[in-house]
Amino acid sequence: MIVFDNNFIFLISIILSSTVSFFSVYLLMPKAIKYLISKGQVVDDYHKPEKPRIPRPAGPVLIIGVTISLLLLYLFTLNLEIIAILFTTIIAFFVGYIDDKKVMPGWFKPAALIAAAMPIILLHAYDTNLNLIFGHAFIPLLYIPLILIAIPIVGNTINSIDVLNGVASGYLLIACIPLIISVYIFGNMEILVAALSLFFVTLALYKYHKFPSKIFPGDSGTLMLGAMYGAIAIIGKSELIAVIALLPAIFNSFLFLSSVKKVVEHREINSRPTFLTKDFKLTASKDQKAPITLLRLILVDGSLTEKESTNKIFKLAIFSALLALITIAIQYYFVIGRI
Amino acid sequence: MSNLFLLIGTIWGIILTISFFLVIFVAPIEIVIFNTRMDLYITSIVQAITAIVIVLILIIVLNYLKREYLKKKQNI
Repeated sequence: MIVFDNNFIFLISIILSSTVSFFSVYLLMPKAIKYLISKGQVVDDYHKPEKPRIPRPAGPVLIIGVTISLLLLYLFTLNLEIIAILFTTIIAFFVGYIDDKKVMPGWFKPAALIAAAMPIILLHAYDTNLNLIFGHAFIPLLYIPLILIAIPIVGNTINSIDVLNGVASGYLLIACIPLIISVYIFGNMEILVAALSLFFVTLALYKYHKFPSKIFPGDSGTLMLGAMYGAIAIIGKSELIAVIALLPAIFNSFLFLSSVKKVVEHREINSRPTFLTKDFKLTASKDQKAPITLLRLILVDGSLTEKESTNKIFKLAIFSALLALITIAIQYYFVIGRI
Repeated sequence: MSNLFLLIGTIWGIILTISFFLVIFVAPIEIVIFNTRMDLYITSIVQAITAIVIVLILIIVLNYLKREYLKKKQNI
């Protein structure tokens, strides 16, 4: 493994990897949009008055961007941890792509994403010391089941928050900031560059996914971005920081699961948690049987437009990112500052 | 909406508390009975049971917080 011992090479790899990840997605996406429209791979955007047909999925473009940038990074570093992140992301992409193309049962995504965690374990791309803010715990065997649980949870969490135009990509962008800082402090420089790749791929996606969306990421897009985020958090020794940065999204998954009481697809739910009013504002459902979601809780205070609802979710994301930054400061003091 | 910030802040506080508990009480656990690799498995089992108990407690607390939040917002 070649460690960045040369600042110049490190700088070149950051610039190259980030530039490639951003521009490959940014430039390929318009072509993908045209292609998907021509093939009729479009879905209704239910929250708009005219219900426009939006192409889906953006996942294949995202995986091209991630693969090129991570392969470039691997050529610079020959670090197998990069390959572990890449394979985890690719497997999660295929799991999502199957779900994009064929309606699968609710258990499929969480169960299949366990396979996405395998590269991290097989390539031993993890540390058996878990950072726990006030210190760390040596968990040589327990860490393996934790990885098998963490990747499906993070993948599905990003998938579940993809409820409105730009929410999944915008939310992930915000959550990436504390992750990048944490990986820089507690992880290593190679994983930092991988985290920057994730950030720039997501930034390019956000350009097309933000309100009003030109393309939807689909399950392939959200699952691969979530799994990549989880893999970087694990390999970059930033597990709890990632959990805190994703708190509102994780809380959203928890609310849904605890109200539905089983693992199901949103499309399998008969009663919707929110609905559209005649003036195209989102309103919380009063139906007791409707699942509880973060969006439903936000809308309890009153009806909002799609854009207003998105901004409220982003405010919660910024708040949890700030909590994650405070946590980084605490962890720095206890784990590094006292050495 | 401000209640949601409070809720997220409370969950963050719970995570910090759990982390503190894990570092002080669970991380130092090292069981030596046979002086072999078996001890590693026993230590891991004890850590796993502790982790499962903590996760269950966390789920109960989160459910309680959710119920209290929904009680405040009676129209849901």
